[in-house]
Amino acid sequence: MKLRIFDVIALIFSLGVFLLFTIYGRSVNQDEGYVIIETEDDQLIYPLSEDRDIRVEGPVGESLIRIDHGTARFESSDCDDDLCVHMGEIHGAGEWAACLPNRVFLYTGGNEDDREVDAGVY
Amino acid sequence: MFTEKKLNRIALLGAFSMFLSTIEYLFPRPIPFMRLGLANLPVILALELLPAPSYFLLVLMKVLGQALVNGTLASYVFLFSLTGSFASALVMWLCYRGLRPRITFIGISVMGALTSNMAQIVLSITFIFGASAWRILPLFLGIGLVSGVFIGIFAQRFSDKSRWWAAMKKEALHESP
Repeated sequence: MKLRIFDVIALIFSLGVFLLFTIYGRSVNQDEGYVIIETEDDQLIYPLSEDRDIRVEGPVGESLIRIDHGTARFESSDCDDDLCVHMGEIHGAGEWAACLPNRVFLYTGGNEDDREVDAGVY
Repeated sequence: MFTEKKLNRIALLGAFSMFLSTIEYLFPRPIPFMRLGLANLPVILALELLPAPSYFLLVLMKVLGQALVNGTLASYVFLFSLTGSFASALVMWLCYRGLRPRITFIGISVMGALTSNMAQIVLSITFIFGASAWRILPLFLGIGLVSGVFIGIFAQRFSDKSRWWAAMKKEALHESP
């Protein structure tokens, strides 16, 4: 049994595709995370790599969300208890903060490296 | 289109496929996605035996048999398996018809594994898991490449050595005009 020319081509091609996606997968992993802001009628997404302030309107008033040094947090909100502000900074995959009175929900994703496993089910 | 003899061949190879699915099911899987792809062996060998309509009917039999054994018949996994199997069967059929004798079952098997994995990952990105599914693709492709090579080597050796298979081929050759 000997390999023929197209066997070799098929093997090299397969190996090439495999390596391509391995490299691609690694480059994706290095991406900065992102934050998703859900308000009553809107869904916004911002990269965590750029610092910025975002103002969103809700039923009680205005919430100010600040993206700073790769983390996101509620800077202030027109709610009574400011629980959302006390939730502090979020940045890793699966972290979240919310201002319930103002119906603003904030969660971050990406940044595989600092993902903490909650559960694995196969 | 399907004479009784052809249907018998399809049934036999389909049964082999289902049997091999069962064998594969017995092996514990170190990684949930890891599959040896033993059930593809009859499908690869059938390239030598069956014309296109019978061949794709066999592929359908394989998918159904696999789904029955694994208990995935009524889940989305079945649709993935169906798409992956038909895409890879098509590519393998084209390789066999177009590139022989400059390709053996090894190359055909590797191309089939690659196609099946690509088709399934595209489906899972589009419908279920989103773009993060790209990250597991290298794992799929690596396992597919290795198991594809082994299945291909086995198929080639079997086709070269088996007297029973040679008799099957001879019979099929005499039958079709």
